Amino acid sequence: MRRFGAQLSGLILLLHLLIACGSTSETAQTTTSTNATTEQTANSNGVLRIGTGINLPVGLDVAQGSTGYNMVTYGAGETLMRFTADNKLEPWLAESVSPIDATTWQIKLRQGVRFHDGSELKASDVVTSFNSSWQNLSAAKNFIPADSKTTVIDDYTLNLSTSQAEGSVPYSLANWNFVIHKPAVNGVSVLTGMYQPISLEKDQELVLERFANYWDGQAGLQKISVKKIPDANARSLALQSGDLDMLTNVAPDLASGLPADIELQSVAGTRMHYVMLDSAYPPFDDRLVRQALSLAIDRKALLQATLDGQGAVATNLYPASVGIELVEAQIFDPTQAATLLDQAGWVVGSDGMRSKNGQALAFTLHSYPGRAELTLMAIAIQAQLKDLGIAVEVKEVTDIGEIVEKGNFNASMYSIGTSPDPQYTVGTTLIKGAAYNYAGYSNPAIESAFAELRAEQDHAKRIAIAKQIQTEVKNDPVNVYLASPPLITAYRKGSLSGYVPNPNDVYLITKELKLNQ
Amino acid sequence: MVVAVSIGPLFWQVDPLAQHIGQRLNPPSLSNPLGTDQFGRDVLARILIGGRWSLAGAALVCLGTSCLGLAIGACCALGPRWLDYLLSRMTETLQAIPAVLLALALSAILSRSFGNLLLALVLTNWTWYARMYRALIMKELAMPYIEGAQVIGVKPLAILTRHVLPNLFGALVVVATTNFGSVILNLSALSFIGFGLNPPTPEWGNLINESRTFFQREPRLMIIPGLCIATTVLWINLLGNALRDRVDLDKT
Repeated sequence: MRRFGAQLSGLILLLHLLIACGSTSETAQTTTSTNATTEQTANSNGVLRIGTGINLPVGLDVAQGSTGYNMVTYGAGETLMRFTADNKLEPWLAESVSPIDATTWQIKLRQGVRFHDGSELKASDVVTSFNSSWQNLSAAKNFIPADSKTTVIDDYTLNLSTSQAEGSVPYSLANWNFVIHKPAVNGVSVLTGMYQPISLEKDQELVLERFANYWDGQAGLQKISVKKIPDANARSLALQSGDLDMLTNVAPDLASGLPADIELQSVAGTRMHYVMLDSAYPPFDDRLVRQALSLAIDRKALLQATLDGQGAVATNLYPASVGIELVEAQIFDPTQAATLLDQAGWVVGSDGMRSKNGQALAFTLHSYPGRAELTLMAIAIQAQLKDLGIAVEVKEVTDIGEIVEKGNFNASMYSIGTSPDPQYTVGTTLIKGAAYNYAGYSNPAIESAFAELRAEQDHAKRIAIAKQIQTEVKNDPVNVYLASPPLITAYRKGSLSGYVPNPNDVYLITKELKLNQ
Repeated sequence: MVVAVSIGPLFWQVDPLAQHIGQRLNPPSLSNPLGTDQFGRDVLARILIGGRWSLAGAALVCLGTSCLGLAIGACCALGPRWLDYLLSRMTETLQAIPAVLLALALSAILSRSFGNLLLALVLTNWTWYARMYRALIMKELAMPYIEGAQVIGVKPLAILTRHVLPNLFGALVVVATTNFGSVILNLSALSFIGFGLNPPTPEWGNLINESRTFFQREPRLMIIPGLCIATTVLWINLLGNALRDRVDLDKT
């Protein structure tokens, strides 16, 4: 009895301790809010502190890894072309990019553009920059073939000739792999952006400061400090406590839990989440089953359950946000899906599940934790397909590349960044031998339309060909397109001005962005 | 808690996997006493089924580590001196590395499954048991009745199974119970960081993980499984202490 009493006292003591911890955290909150005031005063120095979960660059040389992506994102690097917030292609460092003949494009450069070393941008610098991209960045070759020839016409004009017709050249010139740079000096590339990088602490912080001789006038911020904070909750608390001014890529469910004094800017991004089917093996070697699956998923419910209703549902291979005219193909129609499965011979048994010749209609849906909402979507799909009599086992693996590259999958959740260029998504996912066509899918109609699309330089005609391809995707789907996740940026209300949400996350920093006093 | 997760699902027969997106993140009500999660699934049903996986998993790990620890402890106590020396040094070397860290490395090497997670925990937690059982068996072997058995020619294995083990049974239960709480914590910790059961099967550790993004909006989703783990571990530790006092390991 005495022992029980001692244990009870211990428990009460523990509860007191927990309550005491609660009081401590209240005190801590008071302290951080004081800090917030101090930090907000410090912001008058014009330093924008951004928190991100995305990897910082490994160095400051854009010819290495994805440094170019970071440099364009944070206002240090620029390309010849760029995409506006409504996904229109417009010249940036170029004045114009126009075709001379089927394989040659003439690029006229903007005059008066200065590199961070003070020298002026000339056509020969663009040639050096392109050669550096082709030599060092493997992805650059996927946009413009490395055997293309560049010819300097004068200081501000050059010709780019490709070995075969490439209608996508103007779009490719907007890709960060072609950020205009001079070779690195002491590991730092010489760029042309409104901010220039001054320090990088690996995996910790990237600091940039305003470039005084920027060709388009003075940028709104004195300095930018980008801090990597891997944990999403820690990032959101840092914003609330005043340790950060801005958060990028906020998870939708986390965003909706933020207090009212935090401003949220949400825009459907150009990324596409989809289910990749292995069309070479049963049950997905049957076109009807693939078609049924593309109609069986309630994408609005998926979006509600996994992205708090934000982002945009997908109905074909292009995300709605990239501005390409869509052919609505994959819309939720469970009745039609059931009919197609019945036609294919997969009939519902007494247990409510479908089978054919004693074989159950079942498959494994792989997913990976790199993008948290993908596994959640897989869970929702599992429940939705069960209602239709399809058994799905969800399997989360750390390295999805190993599974899909070896073709060890029935179906897999996947996600790619797309482009407003209609050629890019087709060329990387649906063409035989394409980078993300892991199932080895091949459709002669799509192959020939793609060849036509690749050679076409006129935008309206390219869109018309893209519509043909979308119609083919409707008849013979190999990917089940799901949704585009939102890009959410958060900052304290009234603390920033000039921020323009852009579905392309690479244009986070604009010249007009500034901190309010 | 053990009783609740054992018989709870018999009375609360709500499907823990059934999704109702329209009832997403509902607060506690009569139809969902602990509310619903982001898929509109009943949190109470998921806690009860999740508890089964957590507790059954921890019990299997304790059983596995007890058997492995006992076998190695007995080899040390009854085998030749060189074997004792070898196994003891190996045990000490493994003990120098934190068990959770080792289990994490093993889980990463093995493919993701609940069975592999339990195996990783067994393979990394047996050292403490082995040392304990070696000491207990050696202490028992020094008793006069064992010497008597040895004199009349009873073989070492028979001495172990017929005489030593029955006398150590109480101690075995106490040791396993005392360790049960820490196994639940290790299991939940590894499950929290993504090893173990595949979704959507609930387990207390992965229930906390799933609700991380809701920590400000719906903190109950994290607090409830957290409280279940804390309460279970607390009471199992108290039970272990009570059993130890009752059996009194010093007298064993």
